[in-house]
Amino acid sequence: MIVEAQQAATDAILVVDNLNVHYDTSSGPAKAVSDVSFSLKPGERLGLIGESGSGKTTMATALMRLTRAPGRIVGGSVMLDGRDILKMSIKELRATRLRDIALIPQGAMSSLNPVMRLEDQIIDAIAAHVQMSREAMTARVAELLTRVGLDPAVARRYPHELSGGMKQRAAMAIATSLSPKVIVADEPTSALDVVVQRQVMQTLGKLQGGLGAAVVLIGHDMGLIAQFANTVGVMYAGKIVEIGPVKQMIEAPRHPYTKLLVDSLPGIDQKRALTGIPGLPPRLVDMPDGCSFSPRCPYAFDRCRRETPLLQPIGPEQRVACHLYPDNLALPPRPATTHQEHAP
Amino acid sequence: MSAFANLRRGLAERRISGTLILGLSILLLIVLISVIGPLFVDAHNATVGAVTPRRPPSAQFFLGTDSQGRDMLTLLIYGTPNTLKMGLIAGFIGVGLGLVFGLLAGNFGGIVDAVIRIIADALLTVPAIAILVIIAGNVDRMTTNIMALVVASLSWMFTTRTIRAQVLTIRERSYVEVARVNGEGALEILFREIMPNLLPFIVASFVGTVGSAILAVIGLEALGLGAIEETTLGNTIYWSQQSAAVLRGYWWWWGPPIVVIALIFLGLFLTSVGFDRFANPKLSRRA
Amino acid sequence: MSALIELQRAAKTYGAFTALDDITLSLSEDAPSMTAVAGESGCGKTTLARIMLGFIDPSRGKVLYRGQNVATMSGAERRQFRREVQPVFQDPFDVFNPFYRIDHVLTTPVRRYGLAHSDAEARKLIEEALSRVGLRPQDTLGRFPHELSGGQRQRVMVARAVLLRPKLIIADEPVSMVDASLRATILDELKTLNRDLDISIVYITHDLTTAFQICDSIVILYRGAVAEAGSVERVIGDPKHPYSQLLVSSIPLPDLSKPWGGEEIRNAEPSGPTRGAGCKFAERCPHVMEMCWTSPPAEYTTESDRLATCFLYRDAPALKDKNISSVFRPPDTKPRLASEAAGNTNPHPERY
Repeated sequence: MIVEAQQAATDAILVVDNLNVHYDTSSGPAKAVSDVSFSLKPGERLGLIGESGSGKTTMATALMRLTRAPGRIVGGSVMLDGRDILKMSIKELRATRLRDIALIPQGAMSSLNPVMRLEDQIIDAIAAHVQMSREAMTARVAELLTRVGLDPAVARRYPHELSGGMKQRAAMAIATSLSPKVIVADEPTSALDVVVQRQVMQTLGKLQGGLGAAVVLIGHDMGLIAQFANTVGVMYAGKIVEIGPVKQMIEAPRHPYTKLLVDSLPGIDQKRALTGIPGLPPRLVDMPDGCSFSPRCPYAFDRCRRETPLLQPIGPEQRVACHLYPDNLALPPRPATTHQEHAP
Repeated sequence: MSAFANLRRGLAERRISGTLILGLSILLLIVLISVIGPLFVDAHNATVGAVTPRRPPSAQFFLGTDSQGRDMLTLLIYGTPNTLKMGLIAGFIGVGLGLVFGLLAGNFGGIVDAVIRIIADALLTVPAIAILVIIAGNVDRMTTNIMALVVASLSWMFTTRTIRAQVLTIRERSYVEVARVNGEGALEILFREIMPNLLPFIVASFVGTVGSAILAVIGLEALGLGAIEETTLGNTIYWSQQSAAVLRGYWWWWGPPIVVIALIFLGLFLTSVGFDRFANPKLSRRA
Repeated sequence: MSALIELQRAAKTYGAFTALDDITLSLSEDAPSMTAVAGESGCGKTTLARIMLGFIDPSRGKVLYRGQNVATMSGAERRQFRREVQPVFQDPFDVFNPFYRIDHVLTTPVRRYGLAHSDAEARKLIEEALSRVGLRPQDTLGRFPHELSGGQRQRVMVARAVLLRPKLIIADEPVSMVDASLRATILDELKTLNRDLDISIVYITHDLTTAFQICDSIVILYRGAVAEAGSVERVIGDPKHPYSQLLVSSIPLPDLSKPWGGEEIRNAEPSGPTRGAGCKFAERCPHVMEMCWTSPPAEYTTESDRLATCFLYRDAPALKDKNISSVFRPPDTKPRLASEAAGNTNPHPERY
């Protein structure tokens, strides 16, 4: 299997193998994350794209074993520097979180405690892992804030006195306070304006560079992810349907869904007809056989509806889960649409 | 997601908890006793001097008799519905008034809101029992209906505040603005858009108001300010106190009414808690 | 040109805070246009939308709808205004009353505005509106809001607006809470409404790329004031105001030949309330000069289809009547892309 080969060959810092997370619903388990595998080297930036219902946030929390009921991690492994997060003892897990792997959650700005000063919150986080004198702590806080481009004087402020972008960067400072090896950022700029977004992403990039950490950036904005990541993975209905170097993914995507996603993005060079993807993502409970994208896929044929495609390598570093391959080298011309354009 | 959408799905998703079922069952039982009970006893036995006084529970008198020669079981069966009736009248009037005032205050704001709010707040801080004692003491011939009205006059405030707060919140919702551009007038918005979303709060307020009304009524009766000539649970307690039933060991006189009152409150409380979980699914899904 | 809606030096202040500075514009009734109002949060675009919808009255200046002052309209006139100027809101969740099925939001206007004379006629109108936005009536009607996806809900809202056959639709960030793959579809539907039903659309957004794709003209606001305005091609293709330039360069394009630029962004956000009477962008402007601090710049028309309120362009003629619509370009008279007209569903024949 690909993952084992990578594990052996490289110095991957994070190896996720066959991760499965289910949500218990009244109609049965919803497979929010199915057989997800990928690996990251130190310093690598992986961008995971998915729309709502793709399972990306579920996966982000599962990486840190933060999944809460009704979600359940039902299988797989998350190897961080050789140790499986999913099998650690609680004590070891607590020590690992923040120190080795950190999460910048969605809406990180509202994850700041509104009644505590910023510096107290940062000290809180650090003190849970490391013993330091008060002076050393304060110095570290100043250092951390400067690293994210904030004035150290901001430490004495309360969250509500900061703007959205500043809060986000403060949350990033806390998350990286112990110089983790892996940073998982779940839609870190979702509520921010485009200029602030750029600044925050630049900060994240600088942070990552300074720490030599690997970053998993999760989001739905293809443009943002393309500008930040070296490797891009596309998630659909809980699975990774394509993963590869960003250039390939944007310029020559192999999976029909990736292609449709890229095509639906407007640019500012010229005006053209806007195209979306008709149909809706599937319900994750009781998923039918076959490829989960086949109902909406313009290329779907018989085999697609019967057999679920597995991720297979299609280039030195690219993998795609689609029955069009390996028979084709690239995505063929789009067939004329036979079924409805208009979606329910 | 709003409370009402959940109401419709509650049955499907089994959010009706054991608590709610138990609470409603207790209340149903009490109502059943009140309605069917009279078929099993002779009303005459509840009048003074009807039977042998001061008899402890036996085969003949299931709950014994009091010192005035009245059968306790009959008293209970006729007294419970009277007490419930007062609670329900006060509940309906209290919530009815509270709803109207809350809607007016929340929807119209300005001077209307200020006046209603000031009166409600002022009355909330006044110890209701004191007011009730004064009112009750000045009424010539007290009946259970007057009692109910007296208590109702001071049970609308909390509902008013609750409803007002909800109206203020709901008014800001986008669907109210959509209603406006859809051509709905102010009153139509109030009744078609805002009111339906108040139902869970109305039900919750009702349960609470009935509970506190019964408590107030029993309080007044125990002080002897109730409708002395009628059979109610509170009056029974009053008479038992007057006859020093505790000292004389007639536990079957003051015991059963207290048990029934406790059951009514238990039923109301469990229903209230259970209903909360029913209307708000976030509570029922504790990880 | 008769004006559909006109703002004459309309402004809105809340105490000392200026949400919207004197703005004058007019949208033509004869040529239904698609105009974007763009800017970041707090720039005043939502305030502008609400003034145009008649939800709030301007603190200064006037709003005229078809020549009549909205503030002094009679009941009947106001009703007509209400009907002809319709919103599409941002949040597809909050716009539905959870107590009712989604039909409620469609049957209410039919009833209240007397659009149909019988139930059957009403049903036909509603089904037609739903089909127009790409929804299947049998799959949509009778459902509760939580049973539909965000994209479907938003389309129902567009259908609602269409039902009334308004003259103007004000869409306030209509797709920002919708999945990327559905955004394009919904925006395309808005464009179709503009073309087929002659409905003018004001598209409020912070996303310049979609504004570029579907609109003819654009107004960029900064802290309540107009920074730049003109045809979308001109303003976004070649932004002149330093703020517009900052905005456009910050767009993350999925095009690796256009990197984001590594230069440090200082002052990504305004640092406090505007000080003094000068240009609002002065504190963040890389080209700031002495004069920028003392008085606000005028609207300099650098080209016939663009103006920038920046002293860098003070040599260009200033707009005399301050009506920024004079730099708006007329709507596209070109037919839809030839490939579509020919029935070819592949929009990018050149890609393969």
